[in-house]
Amino acid sequence: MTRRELLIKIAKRAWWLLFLYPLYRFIGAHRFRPPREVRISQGLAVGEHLVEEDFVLFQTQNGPYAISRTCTHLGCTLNLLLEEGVFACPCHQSRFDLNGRVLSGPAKRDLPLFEVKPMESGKGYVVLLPAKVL
Amino acid sequence: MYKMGALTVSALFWALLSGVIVAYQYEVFQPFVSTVAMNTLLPFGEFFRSLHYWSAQVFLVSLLWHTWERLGDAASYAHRLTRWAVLSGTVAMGVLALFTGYVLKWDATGRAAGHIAENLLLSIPGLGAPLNRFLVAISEDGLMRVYAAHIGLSLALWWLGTWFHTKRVGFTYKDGLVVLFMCFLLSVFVQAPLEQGSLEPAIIKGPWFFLGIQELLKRLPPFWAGIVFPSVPVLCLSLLPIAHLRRMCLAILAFWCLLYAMATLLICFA
Repeated sequence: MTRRELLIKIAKRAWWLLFLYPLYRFIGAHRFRPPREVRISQGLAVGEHLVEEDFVLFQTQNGPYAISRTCTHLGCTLNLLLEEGVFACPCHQSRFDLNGRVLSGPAKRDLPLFEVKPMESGKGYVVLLPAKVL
Repeated sequence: MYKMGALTVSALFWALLSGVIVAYQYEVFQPFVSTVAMNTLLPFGEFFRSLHYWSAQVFLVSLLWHTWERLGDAASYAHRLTRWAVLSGTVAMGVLALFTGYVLKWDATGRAAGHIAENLLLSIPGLGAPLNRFLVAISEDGLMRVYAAHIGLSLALWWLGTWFHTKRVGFTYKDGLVVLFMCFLLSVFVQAPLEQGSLEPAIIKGPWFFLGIQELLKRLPPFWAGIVFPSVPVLCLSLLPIAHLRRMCLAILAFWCLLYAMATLLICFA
């Protein structure tokens, strides 16, 4: 087989590879999504808490703090078991204390805290979360 | 015995057709709401969703069965290794197609499965991020990519199962009716699973084919339990046509199946 024949053979069989790069760039492209603000219009007394889809907001004597409900092992949504004072993962049974520290299970990292600001009106909270579509 | 290959393609046909019907009412930005609406509000919604679910289940079971009964043919593919490897890959693609469908209903277990898949892919060094962008990327883009991958995998399976594998549509009118009748009965009497929106289950169990991996994920690092371990049978299957590796591959496959069955039983009785 001559070099020319070889090149033609390769071109005939591998022309579709040319589409891989545009495909990779198109599918891999990131669209900018701004961080989300979750506005909570109710105030909480010291010792009270509020369970939201992505976090739990606690009001303590030192102020409010919001802790993520996303397990740091593989991302399942954690259940708050208040009577035991823990967050528990329903998927692989990791456990965290109410400050987000790992107690047991396969998770290795503590839960992140989210920034909490007082609402402009004075009553309520604004919690800043990373971008998310659903 | 009935031809399993024909049943597999026939089940895939009904899964694709019912999937197109379900897609008319499925909303990717309101996945759970639209799925609940299908089940509760829309005429015949529950039936078509169940038909899609059951035809997909029949497809996967018959695909696994067909693979099992054809293991002995591996030797005849000694000079067509790529073809055999691609056909072996359809098993992984079939599992992925069902898995993405499981995530799309977006109830508590669907959500958990989606997040687990994303984190597992991201645990792959180097290739993980682009693979995640291609198949999942839920935390950035919601279910858009999972939906695209679900449709893409289903179409690829159809192409591979018909034109690539047999050079024709591999089922007869009778094959089609057998599977339709089976799925019709299942759809009428057994509803496709969907959890209540407010439910936060204490323990989440994934789809039946994922239970073993879920159990292993508790005990091993995600990369080994969720990526390496499930890749082993696909790799062994692909290498079966190579004569001097065949016995070893079959032994590993058998051992893998035993391990997986044990892990599945462990989580079932946990």
